[in-house]
Amino acid sequence: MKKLWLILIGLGLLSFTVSKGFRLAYPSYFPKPLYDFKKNPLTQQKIDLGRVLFYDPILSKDNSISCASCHSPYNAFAHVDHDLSHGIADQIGTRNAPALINLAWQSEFMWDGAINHLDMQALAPISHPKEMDEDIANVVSKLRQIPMYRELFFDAFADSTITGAQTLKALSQFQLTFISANAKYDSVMRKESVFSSQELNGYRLFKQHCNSCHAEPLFSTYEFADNGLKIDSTLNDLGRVVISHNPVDSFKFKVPTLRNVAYSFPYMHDGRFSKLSQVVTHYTNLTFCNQKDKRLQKPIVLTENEKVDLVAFLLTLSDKSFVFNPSYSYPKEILARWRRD
Amino acid sequence: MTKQPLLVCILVFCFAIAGFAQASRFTMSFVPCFNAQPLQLGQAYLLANINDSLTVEGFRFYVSGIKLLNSNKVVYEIPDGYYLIDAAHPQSQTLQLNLPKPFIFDQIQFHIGIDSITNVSGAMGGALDPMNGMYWAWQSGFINFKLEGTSPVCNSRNHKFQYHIGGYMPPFNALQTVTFSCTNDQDLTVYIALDKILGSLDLRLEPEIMSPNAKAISLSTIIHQNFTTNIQP
Repeated sequence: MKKLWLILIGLGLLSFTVSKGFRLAYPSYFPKPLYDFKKNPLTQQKIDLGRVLFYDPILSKDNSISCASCHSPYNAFAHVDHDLSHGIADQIGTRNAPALINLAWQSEFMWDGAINHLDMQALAPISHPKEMDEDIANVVSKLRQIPMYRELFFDAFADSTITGAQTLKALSQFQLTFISANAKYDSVMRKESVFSSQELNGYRLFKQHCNSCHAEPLFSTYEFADNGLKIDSTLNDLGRVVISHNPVDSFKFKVPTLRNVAYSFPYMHDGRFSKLSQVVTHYTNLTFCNQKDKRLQKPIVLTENEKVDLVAFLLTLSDKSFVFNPSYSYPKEILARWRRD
Repeated sequence: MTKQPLLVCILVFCFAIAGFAQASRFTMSFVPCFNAQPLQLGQAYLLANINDSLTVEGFRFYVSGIKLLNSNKVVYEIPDGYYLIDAAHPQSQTLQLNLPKPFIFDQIQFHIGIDSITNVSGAMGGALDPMNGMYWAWQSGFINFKLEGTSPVCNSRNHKFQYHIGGYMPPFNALQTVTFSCTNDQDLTVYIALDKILGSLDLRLEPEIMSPNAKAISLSTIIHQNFTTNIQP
């Protein structure tokens, strides 16, 4: 009887997207993914190809910068210690490279939502003059010259021609596997573990003060919000309004997920805070700012101990199995197949 | 008994012939023009309103959502029809539209550009592949219409003018839909009066429109007006 229960719970916890090639597992308490897998059905071959592309600096003009240069798996695919992204020829961009987590549940990408689909996201860093400074047509012509890619594309798409759409879809596939759902928080949700009293108090405070924007279980609503940061006059970044042309979107940026937040420092769109405690203090000091978002109109009052408890809860969102997942790391075993030949 | 397979073959053959005879085809061509003459890329033209010369180096646009109408009612829609018309590739300028069977229609309607749903549908191949250079990388969206060249009057680097017209999100949705009268039995030729489109612009002070904004919208309506089946100098 006990065994049957375990099997039932196990089945309940994991739901799967239906695909012949690859099953994407996520917990039952997650909502349905927004990504349309029917238009890009996952297969192991396409994921492998995407992984090789993600780590290949061939995507940049001088073959120096790969996706992983600014999105390291060990930092939940963020860029550790860089407030602003650091691209080709040591150029510095204007925004903090975000963590790449649970992307299948997002429909707008970048801090200002400039990108409307995961497939198209890679075009932005590839062509940005301060990131990879390349052009997708040129990327494709470089890939076509490499026998390994002709074979990898043939394995993935039954077509060795290599197109821009295939390159982008493969990159999406690898990134769609970036599912983080195995932090201590998740094991508590699955009733496999319990919070310490400090974490539990932090969770209570989180639900009281943070959950309206950083909503469970993804720890973001992925809306655009003005969290009261004073504009950095060296950047003058107006955020979402530049894309939407709607004045109400001034100073709004996408709410980032808090999953793996301990790994993905520094924080905010311009990376101005390096510690979680600074972020918490930003919100508790907000009463002095000209605050626009309704959810932040009421002052957040926390004692020093409560701030520590809140941070203790945020640390339960760290997913070690995510950051050290071998299937996200440099694809040396895939590349080795070609080196041997 | 032994003759039966042969009989079946003959019957299948007859049905196939009948099937082919049933299918129908409609040909639509696009001719970019300057002063009512077919455009020559790289040739210097005199543009009256600037009293100076200009050269068109590149001209491309999307045609999609082709519908055939009869008495103002849609009777057939070309499925998945996205076409990139490119002045540098003459073969791209003629569309052979296959129709399932002959039917009566008196109008054809199509978009100049790509509709908003397709704009948010992720990576697609063929004419829609971003490697064709008709997709904005920095802010998602197709470029519906791209017209580039040079003129000594342009106040820009290398005297270039670049008009990349697109945008699918309100208030700056640059998609235009045109409708022309036509008949089943006659090919349709659509002329694009580039001299009129360029003549409407301030090449001196505004040699670049390259993002979804009010200027792009107003240019898209001028583009719409200058797709015509009846070209005049």
